[in-house]
Amino acid sequence: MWHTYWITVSIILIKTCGSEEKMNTGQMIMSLGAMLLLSTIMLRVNTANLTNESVRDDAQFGVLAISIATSIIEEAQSKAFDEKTDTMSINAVTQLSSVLGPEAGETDSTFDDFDDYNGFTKRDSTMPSATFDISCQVVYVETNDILGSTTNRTWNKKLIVTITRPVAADSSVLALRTESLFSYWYFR
Amino acid sequence: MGTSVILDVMGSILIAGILMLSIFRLQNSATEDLYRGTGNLTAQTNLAQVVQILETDFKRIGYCADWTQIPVPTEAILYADSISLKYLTDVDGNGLIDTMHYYFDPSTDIPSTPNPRDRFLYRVEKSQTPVNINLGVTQFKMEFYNAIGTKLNFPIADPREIFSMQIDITVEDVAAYDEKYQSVFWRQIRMAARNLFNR
Repeated sequence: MWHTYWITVSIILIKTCGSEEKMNTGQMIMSLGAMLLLSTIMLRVNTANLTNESVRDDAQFGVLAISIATSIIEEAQSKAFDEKTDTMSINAVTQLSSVLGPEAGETDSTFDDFDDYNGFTKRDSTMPSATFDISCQVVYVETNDILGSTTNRTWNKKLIVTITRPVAADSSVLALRTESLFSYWYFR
Repeated sequence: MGTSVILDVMGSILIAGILMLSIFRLQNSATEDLYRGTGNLTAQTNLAQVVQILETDFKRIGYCADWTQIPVPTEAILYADSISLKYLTDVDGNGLIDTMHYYFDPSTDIPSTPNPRDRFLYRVEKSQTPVNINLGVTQFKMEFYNAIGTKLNFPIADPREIFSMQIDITVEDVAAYDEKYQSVFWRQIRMAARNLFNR
């Protein structure tokens, strides 16, 4: 670092090249104080720059996380509302699946209904600059409490997508958590 | 003037020089940081704008206020390749079918911007004059998949096979400090036509 370098140089110059009338203690303290002040300012500017860089990176990771989350939601909404509505229509909530999640043998490439994404996890390493971990949860919700969840079967399901970014082998930071509702409706 | 005085003066000049250099570097660094921050914000804003435009239009692929005009939504896409998409829609919501054509020109640089990589993204509504979108788009790439998730190779002979698409967009700021352009990337997988699956 420059400031360390020139403090050292200054001290050497003061010690070796001083005039016959040596720099007195007051002048020395003032010089050192000025250097210290400048060093502090430089450190603070560097810190601010690094903080700005970090904020910019977080913002970019947030954009990528949003694109992943919207893709997951879009995919999930392209499926049937429920396993029981995949090939036929139903008219009573009791006909809906009581257990949310993929059916036996189903993988993400064979998901056929919205709640198959319950418990779905995936690591996405295809994005530039960062790796993201995706985890999903699907719950039933009541129309009068869409922010919560219910154990009752209803015509509405909520997909909660959580995107985290691993920063070390055993830790990660939250990049995004978003929710999307999907309701059963029949067209034509 | 004694030797020691000359040494004092030279030492002072040296220290002053180092100080000045440090200050200049600091100022340069602060300025660059400011420009990068502004450029990044601009790129993100532009990306959001591009995505918003595309989302607004693409979610209406196969939509018509009068559904009898497009009774089979799978037939809404007329042409698709990696940088171009033409489809049927109802832009005005008046029940009449319109065509929408998006295409990207990867070869022609936008002359009015310093960024050598940004290109025009064109939007052609009905048969009107193409509207060029200059928001610093440097990459616009689409991939298409069929119903079982298999990627369709170009040229796509039968666009009715298209079930979902992946859109990759990279946006950079159109001007940058010291040509260090800020880049923002977006990738979205979306259904080709929302009207296809209502179960």
